[in-house]
Amino acid sequence: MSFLSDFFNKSSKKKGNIDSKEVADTWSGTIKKDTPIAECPFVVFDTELSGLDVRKDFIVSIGAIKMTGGTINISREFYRLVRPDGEMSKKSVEIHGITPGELVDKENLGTVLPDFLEFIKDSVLVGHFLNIDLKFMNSALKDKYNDKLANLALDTHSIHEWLYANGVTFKKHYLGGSTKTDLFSIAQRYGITVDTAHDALNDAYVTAQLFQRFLYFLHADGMHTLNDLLDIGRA
Amino acid sequence: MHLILAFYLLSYMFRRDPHLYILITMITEDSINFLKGIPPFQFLDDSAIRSIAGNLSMEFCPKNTLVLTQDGPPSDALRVIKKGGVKVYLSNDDEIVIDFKSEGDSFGYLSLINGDKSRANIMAVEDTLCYLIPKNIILDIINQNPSFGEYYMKSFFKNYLDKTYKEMRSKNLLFKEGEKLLYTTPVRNILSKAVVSVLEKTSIKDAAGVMSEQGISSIIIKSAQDVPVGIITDRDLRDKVVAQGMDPSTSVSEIMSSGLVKVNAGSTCFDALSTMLRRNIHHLLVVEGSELAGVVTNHDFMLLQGTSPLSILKNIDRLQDSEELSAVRDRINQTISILLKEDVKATHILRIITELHDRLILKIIELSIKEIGDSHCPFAFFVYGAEGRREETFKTVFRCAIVYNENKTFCEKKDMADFCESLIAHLQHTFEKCGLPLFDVHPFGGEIPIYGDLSTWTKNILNSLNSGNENRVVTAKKMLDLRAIYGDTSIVWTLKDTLYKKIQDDARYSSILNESSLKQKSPVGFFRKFIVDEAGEQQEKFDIKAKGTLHIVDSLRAMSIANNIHETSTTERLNLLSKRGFIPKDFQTDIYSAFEFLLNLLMQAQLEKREAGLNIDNIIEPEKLSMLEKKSLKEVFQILPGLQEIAANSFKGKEAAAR
Repeated sequence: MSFLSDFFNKSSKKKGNIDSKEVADTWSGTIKKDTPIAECPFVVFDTELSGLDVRKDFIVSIGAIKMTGGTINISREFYRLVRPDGEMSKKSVEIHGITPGELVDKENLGTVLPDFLEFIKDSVLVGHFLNIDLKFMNSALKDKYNDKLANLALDTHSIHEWLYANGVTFKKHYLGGSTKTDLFSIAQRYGITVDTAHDALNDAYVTAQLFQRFLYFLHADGMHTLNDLLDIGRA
Repeated sequence: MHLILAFYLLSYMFRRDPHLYILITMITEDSINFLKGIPPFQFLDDSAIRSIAGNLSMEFCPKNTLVLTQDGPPSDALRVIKKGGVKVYLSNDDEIVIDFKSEGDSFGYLSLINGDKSRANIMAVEDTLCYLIPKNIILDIINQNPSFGEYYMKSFFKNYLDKTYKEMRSKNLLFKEGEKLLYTTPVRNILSKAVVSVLEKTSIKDAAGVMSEQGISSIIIKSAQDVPVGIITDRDLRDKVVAQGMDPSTSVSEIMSSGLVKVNAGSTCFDALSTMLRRNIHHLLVVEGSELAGVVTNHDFMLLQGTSPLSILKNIDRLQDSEELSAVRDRINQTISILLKEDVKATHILRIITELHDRLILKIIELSIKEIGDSHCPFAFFVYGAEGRREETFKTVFRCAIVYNENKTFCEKKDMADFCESLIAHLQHTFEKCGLPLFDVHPFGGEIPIYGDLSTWTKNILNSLNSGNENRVVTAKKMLDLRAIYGDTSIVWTLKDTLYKKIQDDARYSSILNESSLKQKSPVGFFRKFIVDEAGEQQEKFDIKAKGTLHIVDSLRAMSIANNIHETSTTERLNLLSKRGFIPKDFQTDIYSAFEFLLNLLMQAQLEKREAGLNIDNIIEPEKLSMLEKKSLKEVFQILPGLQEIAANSFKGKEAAAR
């Protein structure tokens, strides 16, 4: 263990042993809000949770995929199963189909989090009902480093609500839209192939494709900068 | 302990560096599997595919948006359609559709490589997802796999044809390992016995003794100088010696066949076989360099193949009545299937099929004439259309007609008509009885019969050609590919000569031939299960003969007749036209490959239908073609207009010269 932490210290000058101050320095949003959408680095991400109660439940896995503007960078992905610190409840095993046994040899959040932070850098975070994921992520960061994410963040659910109400080109293209709000109903409505195997990464990928479509129609309706997006979809 | 440390270290480092470590997730795996299934990526090795997958991104283009713009900036990446479809078109005054592309197709290659502006507009016709492969990755791939780039080039067709054929054959589920490519085996591989020979002075008795001792059906006769000069076979002993009561002490040179037909040991069994078919011989000498290496017989092919076109031929020759005809026809079709499943060129298969069909019809004519009695007047049967060109595939209809010479004094027109009527009725009856396809007895429609004297035929064919009635024009064109198969063949030659001369002398006829070949428009490409033409029309079915092979046939026919070439076979016409400088050598090869490819596709489709018990026709469904086949077919469509242009120019040249 001491060898690994030594290596960690030496090899990662930028980050070192993450303490709260450094996290704040490194991850505070440096992206300008007037960045054109086409140049904007996004990370679409999703977590699987053992439940919805942030006090009792925990992150089981994290999946994320990068985008540059409307282009999905297929090969820039992040996916990690996380070994929980606490006991996994019977219920959470049933929901995710991930058994404690599968997680035994996985890293705990203490190891995964720095990697995740390295992956996202100062990208704009995107997710469907992202606030839940952010809540768990920030809670973990608070536990470990007494800090939280400073990245700008967008919620595809809010963006969809806006498009559904106001998107002229969008409504014309899809002849209306979906009144449903869950990721998979929306995805299917807009012609995205949904794999039956759900995990955090596949869900992030579906969200990314949804976001990709939304960006096109937002652009057609005159939204050109990150700020325009934040106005309608800030998480 | 050290091992474990090293493992941790490595996994740690790779995880850190996104360029070193490609996370193989389901998403990446998906894209890898996708690429592995489409050309030209399917021919790359794993590491190349992985390096692409590691640098892939994905773009969304909603329906009706432009992905690339004509004269717009060069493309930055090779786009591969993952889902959806695009239309490639030029917009000058009118919109000209060049192509449609769908799942698995790629675009933007040339502009990417040359850095030129995009040559055409590319618009999504559906919501479309494209994989983007960055320029530097494509350049790396090309560096290591030069054939990758060829896929996108004009030279695609020739370079990928073998791969396409290979795929075509492997697609054929009925292919059995045991039937493996025997017709591609060199003859030397099937020579089992050493050459047995005797000197020409040897007596028949002694030679027969050697043959029976060695258990062989033929023996080579050599001169005193050890040069092979002839062969005797079992049959010679039976027919010439025993049956005619010849003295067995006579020397073998009296009964040997001296015209030795030889084949090189390196030639394929197929070549040997077709030589034997053509010469109607049952033993063939095989030479290795200048040395005699052995003799092949039909029996050798039987051992190899279980069935051989030669034995079918024997079967036909032996027929004494029409009862067994349908069985023979089935065997012919079986042979076609076997040849098709092997690596035999389509044009070669056609030659064999034609040969067998010729023999079959000849036999039926012979049997019929034996029953109804012969005519005093010289007459001949000729075949026309695909049979006339020796390009028959699975037979659906017999195209055969009778011509006689009216100028002979002892020919009464009325008698001749009666004779032909009863002969045709008899043939038709035989065909029907055996379940063979029937004669087309009124090919021109109406009451015009398929027999007549020379001047009647000339008049009927030329009038039909000039009739403006599409069906009659088509029939007349088929008739121009006439070929004698029975009787006084000189009559057929006269007919052909007369017809061709009249066409050469009368611009009216030649322009009809030429125009009808120009009228044909090739499709531009495919979109999913549809085939698309220039106007953007889409069709699910495609007559590959009408829209494909007949293009070539028509253009070459028009040019050949204009230049007094009497050959009817399309490949022969092509050869001669090229030899005489009417078609550039390079282009000749292109046309030949295109023709070969179309025939192959046609016969494969017919084979599938035959084996599924369906009606045999010339229709193919784009849905059933592989991407590679589609790409090759598209390439063929692009070659065809070039031939039409050459034909048109040569016609214009002739016209100008006439004026």
